[in-house]
Amino acid sequence: MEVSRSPHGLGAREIRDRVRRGELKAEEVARSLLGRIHATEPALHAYLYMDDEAVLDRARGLDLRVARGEDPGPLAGVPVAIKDNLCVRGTPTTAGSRILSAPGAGFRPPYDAGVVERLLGAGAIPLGKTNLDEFAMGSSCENSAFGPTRNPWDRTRIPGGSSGGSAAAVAARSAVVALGSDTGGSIRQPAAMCGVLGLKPTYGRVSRYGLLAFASSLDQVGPFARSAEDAALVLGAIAGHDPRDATSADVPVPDYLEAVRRGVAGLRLGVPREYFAVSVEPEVERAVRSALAVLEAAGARLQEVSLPHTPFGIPCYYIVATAEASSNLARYDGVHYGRRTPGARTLLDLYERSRSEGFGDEVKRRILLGTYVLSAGYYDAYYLRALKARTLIRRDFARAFEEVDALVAPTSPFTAFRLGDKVDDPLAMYACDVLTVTVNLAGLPGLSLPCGRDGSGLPIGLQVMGPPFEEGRLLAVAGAYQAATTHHLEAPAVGDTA
Amino acid sequence: MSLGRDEVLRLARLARLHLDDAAAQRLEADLDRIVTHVEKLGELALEDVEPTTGAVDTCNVFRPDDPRTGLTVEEALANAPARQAGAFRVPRVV
Repeated sequence: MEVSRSPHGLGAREIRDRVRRGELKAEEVARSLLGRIHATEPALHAYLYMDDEAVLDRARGLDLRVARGEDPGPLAGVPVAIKDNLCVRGTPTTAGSRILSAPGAGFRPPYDAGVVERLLGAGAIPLGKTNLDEFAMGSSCENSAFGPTRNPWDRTRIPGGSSGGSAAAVAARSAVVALGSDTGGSIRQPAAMCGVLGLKPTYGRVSRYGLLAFASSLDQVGPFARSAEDAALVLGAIAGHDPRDATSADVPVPDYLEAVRRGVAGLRLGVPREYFAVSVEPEVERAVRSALAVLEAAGARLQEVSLPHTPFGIPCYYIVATAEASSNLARYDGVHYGRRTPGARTLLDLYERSRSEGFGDEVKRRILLGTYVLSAGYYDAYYLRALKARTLIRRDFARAFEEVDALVAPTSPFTAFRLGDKVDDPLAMYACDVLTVTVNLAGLPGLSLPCGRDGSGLPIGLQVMGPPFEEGRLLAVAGAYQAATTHHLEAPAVGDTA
Repeated sequence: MSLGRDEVLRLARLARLHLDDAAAQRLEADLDRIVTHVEKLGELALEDVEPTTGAVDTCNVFRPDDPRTGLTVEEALANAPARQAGAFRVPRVV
């Protein structure tokens, strides 16, 4: 259906241009978004935390600045949803876990994440915190301790994960843009499932300061948007060096908006044959192949390439990620913040009871697996072997990028599955990430954009992967594709009876 | 590959998790399947391959050793489940 032109249906670029010129009040935009959130939330459950008054206060403050002749910045008045594993000062931050949300004792960070600070500095209006799989561990949003988010295209289906709330909100127009985090596909896969654009930047491109750590050598924050232009706008605002994250890269931030309009003439696009060899649904493959034809018609040159170690991505990833998680999640101890189980007599008892009550099954599974692969006697057989496999996966990409400028493939082998379908089968759930984890292991940028829908009307994602710090090239591919097609303008029918 | 119940309980102790019998049984079955799956890496010849620990090659990132303000005691303790005399309160240790 066609979305009305009320502010919640506008893009970030148009909102900020009109707010800057004083033609549109940030407050009017905020009110429109809040109305849209209240109309869609009963069906979706994309948000875990909202504070309408705080949103309106910030919007009014911004309007005052515009009235005084100030420029509030490149995201002036743009409402942004924020995944609930990013710290926002004084705002409940749960990571979708009971361990940070004890009744009356929920965690409220004493500081803003680096990306939140930058968004605020650019004039954005944070709308609320979005739902996720607990500690970003999952591919369906079903591991949230607070219940799943539903796919706006079909409420019996998952929105993808772990950043399912952010993806669903942008698709449903209950956010204009959003932030997510991607450790093994957690931005790109839900973007594919919900029919929006999601970009996982190069490792180090965006600060991880204030992101609740899952796997520190893989985690990266990135934007969700409906258009390549809006993703470019948000990435430009959040990218850049942050001395508070020692792995953040001191690399200049280019003009990503300019990159979106660069086109793909002469660009060499590699099609990795292994990404079609896993059981990709025929409708997904068809949509991706026809997207490649669109890019070819726009001037790109397609060429088949091989990334031979792709089949080892999942085993490698689930060793590396769980090892790092088992260490990172040691900090949730019932002592410093979050849930403490009452009545413990000893410190050990306090730790064990608080953690056992606070963590959900998938988090426990990953902590135990990570503890196992790091433990004496198994370290060489599992963890060290995974680190070596990671080298081979990295080399695959490095070799491919000697021949081509970017890689194009499906984001997910299938479209959104039904809630409950995989929740009791961890290996089936892990397999969702088969086409996305390799990019994280190699530290590369990856993007997913909608390229059609299957026979049930469910969105299909096209993945674009590039060499380090070539986010602009990925956005150029996305921009060229969106200039030639209309998939990114399609909107799900949700909350429209309100 | 079978880890066995004792190994699962040992891992749980190391990870400061308490598992009841039902949870231990479920997790043992899950971990057996997952470990079997990741053993696929055994198919690779890795003897001469250097391990990759991170996605970027930077190391030893320093900042100037200048004094900076951090959180105040009040801010640092604001989220503590229990506190006393400017410190986190825990059950008796000694």
